[in-house]
Amino acid sequence: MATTRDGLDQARSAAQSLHAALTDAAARPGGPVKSDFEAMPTKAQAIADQVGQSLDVQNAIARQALDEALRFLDATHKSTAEALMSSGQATEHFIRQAISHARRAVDKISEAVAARRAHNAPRDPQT
Amino acid sequence: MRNFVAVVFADKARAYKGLRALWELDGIGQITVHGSTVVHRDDHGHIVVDSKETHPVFATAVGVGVGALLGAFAGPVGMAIGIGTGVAIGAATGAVIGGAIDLDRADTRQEALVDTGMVLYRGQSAVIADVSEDWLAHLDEAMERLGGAVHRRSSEELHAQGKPHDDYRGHSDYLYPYEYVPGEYPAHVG
Repeated sequence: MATTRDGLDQARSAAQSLHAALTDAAARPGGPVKSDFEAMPTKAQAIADQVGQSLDVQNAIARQALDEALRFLDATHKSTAEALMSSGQATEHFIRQAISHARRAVDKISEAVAARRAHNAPRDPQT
Repeated sequence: MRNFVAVVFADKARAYKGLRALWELDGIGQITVHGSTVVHRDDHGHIVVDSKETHPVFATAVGVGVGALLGAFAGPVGMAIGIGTGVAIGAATGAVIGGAIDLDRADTRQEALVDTGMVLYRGQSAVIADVSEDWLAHLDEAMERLGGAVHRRSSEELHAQGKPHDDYRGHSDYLYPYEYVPGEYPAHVG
């Protein structure tokens, strides 16, 4: 089994880190602080760029998942940007939105990774 | 093939070793983990989810979501209990919010044995995960080596059997899409 990490693996790790950072910010006692997520819109965009660059080399199932991931990353970018421009409960609302979008984005990237692995794996008689 | 798995361990320490092993299998490409969490059954029979969530509303949502997934492994009675009450949230934050599901009840235990055989006894812990796996033996063997008992439900099967409100894929959003270990358990990993 190949373990070389390519652009898709790196995008998945980055998306996982983004979700972790967002949930950490949301879980901060006393509520989220803007400085915690100032860099997040840029990070979401960078992950989207990475995903976009890896699209061409994937199979059809993976490409479909990545197309959806791109939509969720765009939504994450927008929600984090809105959070930065808002205050109070609105900030919390946009962070919650961003967490949800980021979670879906990770899942779609993971689906693409799973599709690629399935394509390369031998068939298990148990499945 | 995408499956929900529940791996039951004798205690928390083994469960966190199981969580680590799960993500290591992902790291070497043998499975793909979409999300995971660890639940414990305490001495009072309450099931507690390790979560970083501190907001009461969202913590309760995590409890209901994870409770529904856990209930799916415990048969129809357990499923109803899981969706109805959710599970407690805590360990990571020290807070205990919401109700608890008691899978030790005789009727639930019998249902569980008939259905999947998954029961979480007091003091035990379980890794709950949403995984894609092309070869079941990878996970089975890794967990068996750590003393874990693996229970599986196919994602497709759960969706086919579920009622309209049983959105298991939605519930899996409450699983962490990376290896999340609360701060109080660092001694159990590595």
